[in-house]
Amino acid sequence: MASGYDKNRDYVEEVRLSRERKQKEDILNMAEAKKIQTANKKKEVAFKAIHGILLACLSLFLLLHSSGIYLFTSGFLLTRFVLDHKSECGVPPIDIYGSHAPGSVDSGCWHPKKFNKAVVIIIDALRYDFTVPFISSDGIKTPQPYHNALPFLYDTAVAQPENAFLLPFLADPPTTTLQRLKGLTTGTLPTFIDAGSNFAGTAIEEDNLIAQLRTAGKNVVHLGDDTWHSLFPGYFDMNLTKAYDSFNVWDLHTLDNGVTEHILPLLEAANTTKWDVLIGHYLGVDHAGHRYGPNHPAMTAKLQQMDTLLRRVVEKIDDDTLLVVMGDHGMDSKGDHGGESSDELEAAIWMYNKGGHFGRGSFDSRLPPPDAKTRPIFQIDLVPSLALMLGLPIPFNNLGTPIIEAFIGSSGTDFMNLALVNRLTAAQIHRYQDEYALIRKPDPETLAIPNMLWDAVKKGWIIKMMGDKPFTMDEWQSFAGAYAAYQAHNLRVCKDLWARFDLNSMAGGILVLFTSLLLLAALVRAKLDFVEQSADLLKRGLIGLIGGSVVGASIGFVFPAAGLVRTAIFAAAMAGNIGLFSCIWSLKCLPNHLFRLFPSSAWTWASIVPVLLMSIGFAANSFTIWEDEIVLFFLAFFGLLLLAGCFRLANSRSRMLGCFHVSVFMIAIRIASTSRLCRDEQAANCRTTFYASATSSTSAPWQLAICYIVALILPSAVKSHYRRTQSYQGAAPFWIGIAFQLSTILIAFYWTLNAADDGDWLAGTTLDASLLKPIRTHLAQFIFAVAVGAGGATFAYQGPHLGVDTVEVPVQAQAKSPGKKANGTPGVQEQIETRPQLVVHGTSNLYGAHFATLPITILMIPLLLVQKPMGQGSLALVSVAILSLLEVIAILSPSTSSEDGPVAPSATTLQISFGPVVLALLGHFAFFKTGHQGALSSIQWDAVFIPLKTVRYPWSPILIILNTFGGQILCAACVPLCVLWRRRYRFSSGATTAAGTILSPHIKSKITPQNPTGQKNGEQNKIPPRDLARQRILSDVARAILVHILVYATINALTTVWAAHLRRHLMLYRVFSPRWMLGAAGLLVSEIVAVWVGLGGVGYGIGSVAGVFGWPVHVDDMDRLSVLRLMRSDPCIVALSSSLGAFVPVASRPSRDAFEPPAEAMASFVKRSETALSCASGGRRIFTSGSRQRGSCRFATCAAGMTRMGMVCVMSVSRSARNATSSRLSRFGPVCALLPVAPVAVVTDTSPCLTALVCVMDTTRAGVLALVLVSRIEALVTPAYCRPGSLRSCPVARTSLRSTLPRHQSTSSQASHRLAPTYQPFKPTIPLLFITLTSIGAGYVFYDQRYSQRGSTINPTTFTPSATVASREKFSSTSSILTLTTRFDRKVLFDKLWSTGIWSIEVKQPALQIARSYTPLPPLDPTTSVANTAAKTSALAVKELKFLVRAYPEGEMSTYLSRIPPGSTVNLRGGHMEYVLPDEVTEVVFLAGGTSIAPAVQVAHALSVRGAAGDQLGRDDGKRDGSGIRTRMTILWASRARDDAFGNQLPGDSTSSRGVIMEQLEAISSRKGANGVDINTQCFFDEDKTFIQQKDVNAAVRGNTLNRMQPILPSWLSWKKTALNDEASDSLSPARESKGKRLVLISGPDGFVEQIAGRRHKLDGQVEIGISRDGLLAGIDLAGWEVVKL
Amino acid sequence: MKTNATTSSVKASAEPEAEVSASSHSISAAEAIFVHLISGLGLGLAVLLARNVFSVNLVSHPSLTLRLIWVIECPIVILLYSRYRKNREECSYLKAVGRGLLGLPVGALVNALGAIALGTPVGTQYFSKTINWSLMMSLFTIVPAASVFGVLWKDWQRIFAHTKPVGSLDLIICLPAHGAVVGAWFGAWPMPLDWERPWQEWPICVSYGAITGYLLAMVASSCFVLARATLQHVKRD
Repeated sequence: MASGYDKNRDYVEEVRLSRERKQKEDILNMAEAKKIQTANKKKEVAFKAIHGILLACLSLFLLLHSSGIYLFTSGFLLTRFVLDHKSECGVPPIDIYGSHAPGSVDSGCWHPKKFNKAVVIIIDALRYDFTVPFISSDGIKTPQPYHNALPFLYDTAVAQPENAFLLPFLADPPTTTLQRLKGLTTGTLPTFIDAGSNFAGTAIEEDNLIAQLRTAGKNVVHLGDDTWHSLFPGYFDMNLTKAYDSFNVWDLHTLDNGVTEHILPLLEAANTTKWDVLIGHYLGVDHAGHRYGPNHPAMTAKLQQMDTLLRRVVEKIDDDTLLVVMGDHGMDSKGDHGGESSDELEAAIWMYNKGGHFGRGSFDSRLPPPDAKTRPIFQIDLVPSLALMLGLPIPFNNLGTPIIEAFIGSSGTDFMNLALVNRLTAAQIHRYQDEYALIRKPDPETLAIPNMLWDAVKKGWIIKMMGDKPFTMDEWQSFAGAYAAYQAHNLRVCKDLWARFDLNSMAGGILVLFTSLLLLAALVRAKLDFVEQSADLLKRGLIGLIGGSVVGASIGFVFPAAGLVRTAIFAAAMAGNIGLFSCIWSLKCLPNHLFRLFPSSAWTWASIVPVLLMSIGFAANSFTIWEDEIVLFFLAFFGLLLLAGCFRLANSRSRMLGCFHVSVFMIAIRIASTSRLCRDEQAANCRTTFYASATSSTSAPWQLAICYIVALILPSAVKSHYRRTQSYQGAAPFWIGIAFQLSTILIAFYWTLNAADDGDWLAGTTLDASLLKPIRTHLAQFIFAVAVGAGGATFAYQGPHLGVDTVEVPVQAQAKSPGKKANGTPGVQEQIETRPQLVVHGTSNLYGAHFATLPITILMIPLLLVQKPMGQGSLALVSVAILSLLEVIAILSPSTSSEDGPVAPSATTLQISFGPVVLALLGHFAFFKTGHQGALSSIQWDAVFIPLKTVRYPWSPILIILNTFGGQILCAACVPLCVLWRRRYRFSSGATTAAGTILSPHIKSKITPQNPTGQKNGEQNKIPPRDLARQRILSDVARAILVHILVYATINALTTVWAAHLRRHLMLYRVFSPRWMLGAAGLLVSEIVAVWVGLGGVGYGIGSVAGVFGWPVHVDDMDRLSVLRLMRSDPCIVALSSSLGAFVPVASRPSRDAFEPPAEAMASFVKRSETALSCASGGRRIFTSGSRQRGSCRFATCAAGMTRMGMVCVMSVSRSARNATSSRLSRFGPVCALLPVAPVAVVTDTSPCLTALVCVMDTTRAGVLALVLVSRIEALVTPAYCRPGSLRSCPVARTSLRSTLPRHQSTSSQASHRLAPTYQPFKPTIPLLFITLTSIGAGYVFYDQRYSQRGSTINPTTFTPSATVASREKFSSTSSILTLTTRFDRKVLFDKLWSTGIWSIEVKQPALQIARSYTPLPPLDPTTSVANTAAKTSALAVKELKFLVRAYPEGEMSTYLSRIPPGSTVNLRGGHMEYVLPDEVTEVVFLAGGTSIAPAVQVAHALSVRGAAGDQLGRDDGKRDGSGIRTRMTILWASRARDDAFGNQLPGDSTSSRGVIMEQLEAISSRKGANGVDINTQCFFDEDKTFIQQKDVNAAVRGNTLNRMQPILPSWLSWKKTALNDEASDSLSPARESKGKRLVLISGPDGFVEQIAGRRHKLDGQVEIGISRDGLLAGIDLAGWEVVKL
Repeated sequence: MKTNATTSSVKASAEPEAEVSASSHSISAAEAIFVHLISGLGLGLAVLLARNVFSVNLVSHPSLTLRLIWVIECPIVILLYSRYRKNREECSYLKAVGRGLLGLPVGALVNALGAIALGTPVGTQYFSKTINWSLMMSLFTIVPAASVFGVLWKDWQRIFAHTKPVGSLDLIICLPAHGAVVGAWFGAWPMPLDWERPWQEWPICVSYGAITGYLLAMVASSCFVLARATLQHVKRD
C-alpha cells in the first residue's frame, strides 16, 4: 500500500513537471489550438443541427397522430353542455292565454291539467311491429314469432279511439337503456359527454320529469329495472319501490314477475292513494331478445305475457289515471340494440285513459299507423305531453313537442288546446335556446331558421292579440302548426349538433391513423440511417403537410359542406404521410421483395405477435375488461422468452447473470401485479387492493410502509446498477446517493402527512391538524422543486460519469496482455517493476449512465410523488424491472459486449425492436398497477391537490397526466436506454476491462494534463473516437423510439376501429369508448415523452460526452451531410424544425475543459452559466443564427425561479471565492447567499406560526438547493475524471478544492484501496431485496388470510362478500346443509329476525348474477335453557348461517351452491323479512314441501324464542299471565323421498339419527316451559305413495293428529314423545282457542302450494294472506284460521 | 475478478456446440411410438378412472382429477423413460428412476413459478390446484428429461433452450414437453372471456390445453420419428 502511495506521489510530481513544460509548448502552439477549437465549434453546431432536425422529424409523427385523433374524435365524441336551470311552476315561459292562472299544481302549473295520476309501463325494447297486426312485406311473407302476440294495444286503439292511441315512438341513438331513460325524462338528446355533468356519477342533474314530480309533491313509485335508481337516486317512495338487477340478461322472468306481483296490488282501489305516479319497467322482452333474438317462441310467450298483464292493468285503473305503455327502444334482427338502425330506433307508445280524452287530428290518422315509418313521434315528445297532462311545468331542457292525439280532444277539433300547449312548449324551447346561447356561443347561422320561425309566429300572435276578433278554428290550427314547425326545426339543429356520429370525419381519422401506422412500420423496417436522412424526411414531410393543408383548405372553401378545418387537417395529414413515404420510396431502402418485409428475427416476431394479438383482442369486451391480467400474461411471456435466451448463452457467468436479471424482472412485475383496482365489470372475480377496500378511495394505513420501502430500496437499487459498470462517478454519488434518496424519503413523509390528515390521526393530540395541509402542500412543492430545478440542472450540466485512476501495471507483462494484468489488486504491486498507468472508469456504460439519471431518477421523483402509496410501489418495481430488462438486453446483445475490432457496433434487434416493445407493454402494465383502468371513473382527480391548493391551469391537467400516465411516461423516457445501456465507449488502443479502459503507455501522454487540448481535438490525436458509432447511436435511438411509438400507434389505431365498428354495441360507452380514449391519450403522451424527453435527453448525453472526447461529426464529412446543405439552402426549414423540436440543446454548455486551471474554469463556468440562465429565463438560442425566441422554454413553477436565483447567488459568491484567501467563506458562502431566497417564497398566510413554518420549509429548500449547486460546481470544477478517490493524483483538485470539500480528503486516504475496480454484484441490495420480498410474501399471506374475514358486513341492500363456506354436509341424496361463516356488523344481528317470523337471505351467483333467497335454519342448540336462549342465539348468529339446499340438476344457483368449495366467499344480502308472525299465535299448522321445511323450523324457533320473550314481557307489564301456554304446531311435511326428510341414514341405524331437521324440531319441542312449542311432525313421501290429504289437514286443524303418525313412520322413526303429545292435546283448552291466532302456513314449490291451496298470487311482499283458498284446503272448514301462502 | 460477464458472453457463445450427436443415442421408431402410446394410454386411463370410478372430472373437481392424472402418469413416465437413460454404464436403472423422482418436485416448482409469473392466483384456495397442476406439467416436461439426461447441462440446453433435438430420443422428449407448454399457454386464452363457464377457471382450461398440446405433440413426434426411420431406411438401401 505504502509503496504504491509513494509511487503515486512521485508520479504526480512528474506529471506536474511535465505539465509545466508542456504548457510552455502550448503557448507556442496557440495558433494551432485556436484552429482546432474553431473546427470543434463547427462540429458542435453541425451535431446540434442534426439532433434538432431529427427531433423535428420525429415530431412530425406527433402531428400526424394528433390530427388523426382529432378527426376521429370530432366525429365520434359529441358533447353537449348541460344547463342547470329548472323550470318552475309559477314561472311560465310566456304569458298565459285565457283565464288559467299559473302556479298551482292542483289545477295545472302552466296549463290546465287532465289527469291526477299516471301509470307508466315501460316494456324494454318494445319494437313497433310487435304491437301492430302483421302485414306481409317483401322480406317477410309469413308472421314471425314476434308478430300478433301483443294485439291488445292495437285493438283498443282501433276500438276506442277516444280512450287510446298507438303510435310509433322513435328513439334517438344511442339506443341503450340508460341514455334512453335520460331522454325520456329530460326531453333532450343525450350525448356521450354531457359536459358540465359529473363524470363519476350517473345521476341526472338537469331538469327532468321525475324531479318536477317530486317538486310538485307527487309520490313516485318505481318497480323494475334498477337503472332508474342510479339515474334518480332518492326520488322514489322507498317503501313501495322495488328495484331489480338489470344486467342479468339470461333471466327472462324474475324481474317481470317481480314487477307484476307488485304493480297489480298497487292498482287496487284501496292502494291508489299511496302513489301518484307509478313507473313499471319490464325487461323480459329485451332479455328475450338478447338471449334468443326476436324470432323465437320465447319472444311470443313474453309478448303474450305482456298482453295479459296490460289487460289486467286496464281492468284495474280508474278514470282519473293515465296509462302509458311504451318501449324505450327497439331491437335489431339479433335482438340487440345500442346503435341507430331503424329496427333499433322504432319503439311503440300507447296511451290509455277511460275518460275519453284522446282524439285524432285527421281522418287519416284514425287507425294506428301500419308501420313505424308512418306518423312517428319522437320519444322526447313524451316529456312535454306528460308534463302538461299532469299539470307540471315542462322540464327546462326539453326539446320535444306535445303529442297531437293527446291534446286534440275526443272530437279531434280542439285546435285551441293544441295551439296553446304547442305555444307553451315552443316558448320553453326558445327560453332554453337563449340560455344555451349565453353559455355556448353557437354559430349564428345554425339557429337562423328556427329563430326566423319563432319571430314570425311571435309577431303573428301579437298582431292577433292586438285585434279584437276571436280566434277561428283555422287560426288556432295554423298557430299550432307554426309552433310545431319551430320546434321541429330547432330539434333538427340540435340533433346535428349533438347526437349524430359523423361517419365521414370518423373514417377520415381512421384513414389518417392507419396510413401513418403503415408509414411508421415501413420506416422501422426500412434500412435507412435516420441521421443521414432526417433532413430529407423532414423536408418532404413538411412540404406534404403544408401543401396538403393548402389544398384541403381550398377544397373546404369551395365545398363548405365538407368543413374547412377538417378537410384541411385531413388533407394535410394524408399529404404529410405521402411526403414521408416518398422519401422512403425514393431511397429504395425498403426490402425489394414482399417476402422480406416480414421480419426474420425471432425476437422481432416475439415482439410483434403479442401486440397484434392484444390489439385485436380489444374487439372483445371481455379481453378489454381483463386487460390488466392479459398484459401481465404477455410481460411474463416476454420474461420467459428472455430466460430461454439466457439459457442459450454458452458462457455460464453471463448465463447466470442473465437469469438473475430475468428473475428480478419477472418477480418485480409479478409483485407489482398484486396492486389492483377492479373495474365494475370485473367485480365478481377481482378484489381491489389498490385502496383500503373496494368501496374506499383512500389508501390503507399499512400501505404507507410501501412508501418507506421504496425510499429504502429504490435509490440503492439504482446505485447498484451504476456501480456494476463503475459509472457511479461524477454527479451520480451526489444526485442518486443524496438528492434522490432524500426525495424518496420526503415523498414517503408527504404521504404519511397525507394519511394523518385523511385519517385524522392528530385528533387526540395537542397538535393543530389544520397545519397539516399547508405543510404537506409545501413539502410537495419542495419535492417538485428538487426534481425539476435541481434535477434538471444536474442532468443538463453533468459531465460524463467517468473516473480516472492510476494503477500499477507491470512493465514486462504489459506488452503481452494488458487486459489481464490490469487487475490493480495489491498483489500486482509485488511485481518487480511496475509503472503507474491511467485507467478511465465508466467507459462501458458511458451514454447509458448519463442518460439513465433522467428517467430513472429525475423524472421518477414527480412521478412517485403524485402516485398513491400502492402506485408508488408498483412504479418503483417497474423501474427495477426496467433496469433488469436493460441488463438482460445488454447481456443478450453481442454487439455491446464484444471487445474486438474497431468496427462501430450496430444495435441488435433485441435493442431496437424487442426492448422498446417490452417497455411499451410495461408502461401499459404500470398504468393498471398505479390504480387505473380503462374507465373514466378511475381517474384520480385528487392528484391535482398534491402540490396545489386549488385547481390551476395548466398545472392541474399536467398533474393528472403525470398521475394517470405515470407508467407510460416512465417507460417511454427509458426507451433510449435500450440502445444506450452498456454501449461501450471505445478507445482506439488500450485495454478494456470490466468497467474501465486502461490506456497504453504511448497514449498516456496525450490524455494526461500535459496536453489540455488532448481531449478536445480527439480525432487529430491518436485517440479518435468512433464518430460513426456516435452518429449511429442517434439513429438507433430514433429507431427504438419509433418502434415504441409503433406499439402505441397500433393499439390506438385498432381500438379506434373497434370503437367505430362497435358504435352500436351495448358496451360502447362502458368498454370500447373508454378504451379508445385510453389508447389515444396513451399514444400522444408516450410519443411526446419518448421524442422530446428521450431523444432530446440523448442529445444532451452525446453533447456531454463530446465535450470531453470531441464532437461526433468529421469536419471533412460536413459537406457530405445533407443537413448542412439544407441549412445553407433552406433556412425556412431549419427555423421550422427548430421550433418543432422544442428542446434544442443550448449552444453554451458549461465547461468540461477539465484540466484548465480552476480560476479559468470558474470564470468560464460563470460566463457560460449566465448564458444558460438567460436561455432558461425564456430566451432560447437557435443554433444557426443565435437569435432568441421568447417564451417557449420555461422551467416549471417556482423551481425555475429558485434555481435561477440560487445559481446567481452561488456564482457571485464563487466569483469572490476565487480571489478570497479564506476558504471558510467559500464553504459557507453559497448557503449564506441563498438565505435571502427564503422570503421570496413566503406565501401570504396570515398565521404567524404558518409563516414561520413556511420560512423553515423554504430555508430547507434553499439549503438543499445550495447543496445541489455546490455539488454541481464540484462536478464541474473537479475535473470529471479526477475521481474523489484519486484526488492526490489530480493536481488541480488538490490545490483548489481541498479547503472547500473536506469530505473528499477524508475519503482520499482510502484511495489506493479503491483503486481496484472490482465487480460488485448487488452487494447491499441482495439482502435488502430478500428481506423485502420475504416480508412482502409474509404480508401477502397474512393479508390473504385476513381478507376472507374482511369486506363489508352483510346488509339488506347490497350484496357483499360477507360469508365464507364453512362446511357442506350432505343431508340426503339430493340436499345438503350448507353452513356459512359470516361476519356481522353489530347493528345487523339477526336476533330480532329470528323471533319475528320467517326471513331469508339472498345468495348471489357471481358468474350469472342471479340471486336466490334461502331461508336460514335456526341455530341448533338443544341444551339451551329458557333464560339464555336469546343470548345464545345471537352469539351463534354472529358466526354461522345454515341453509338447507337442494341440488336441482338444472338449477343454476343450486349447482353453484352444491359445488362451491369450503373456504370460498359467498355474496350475501339480507335478511329480508318474508312473513311476520302475528303476535299471540297459539296454533300453527304448517304444510311444507321439500326444503320448505326450513321456514317451518324457523317458525318453530321463532315461536319458542318468542315464548320466552313474551313471557318476560308479560311479567314485566303484568298484562299477560306467564302460565306457560305452549303453542301448538303441526307440521305436515311432504318430500319426494324418505331420506329427504331424515337424512341419508340407513334404516335400522342404531343411533336412530333422524336428520338434523328432525332433531332440531325435537329440540325445540322439548324445551320446557313457556318457550316450548309442541311440535307434531308428520311426514309424507312420494316414494311411499303417501300424500297430504284433506283428512290429514283436517286432523291437523282439529288437533287430532296422533293416529296418523304410526302408519307412516316406521317403528325406528317413532321418535315423538307420546307424553308431549298427550300433553299437547290435553291442553287444547277453550281459553286458548279464544285467545291468539291460528295459522295455516303453506310453503313449498309452486306446484305444491297450488295443490294444497290453489295458485299463489304474490302480493305486496312475498306472502299471500287469506285470499283464494282453492285446492285441498277448499273443502276444509277453516273458520278462525288464517291461511298464509308463503 | 475483472472479467465481466457481459464482456465474455460473446466469446463463450462463439464456442462450438457440444458434440451432441456423438453422445446422444437413438431409439427405434417402434420403441418411441410405444413410449408415446403408453403415456397416452396412461393419461386416458387416468381420465376414465376419474370419470367412472371416482365420478369426478376436471371441471367439477380439478384438484382431485389432476392428482389422479399425475399419480397414474408418474410411474408410467418415470419407469418408461428411465429405460432410455444415457450413459448406461455409469447409471443404473434405479438411479435413473431416482433422478426422475427427484425431477418431479423440481420440475413442479419450475412450472409453478412459471405459472405464477404468468398470472396464476396465489391465494390459499388455489394452492392445491396449482400444486397438482404443476406436478402434472412436471411429468409432461421435466421428468422425462430428468430420467434420461440426469444433470447433463448440454443436453438440457439443447432440448429446452436451443430446441434442437438430435435423434429420436431427443425428439420424444422435446416435442411433447414443448407441446404441453404451448398448449397450456393457449389454454389460458379463453380464461378472460365472459362466457361465465365454470371451466374458465384456473387451472381447468389450462390443463385441457396442456393435455391437448401434449397429446398432439406426441402424435407429431411419433410421425417425425417414423418419418426419420423411413428416411434412414431408404438411405441405407
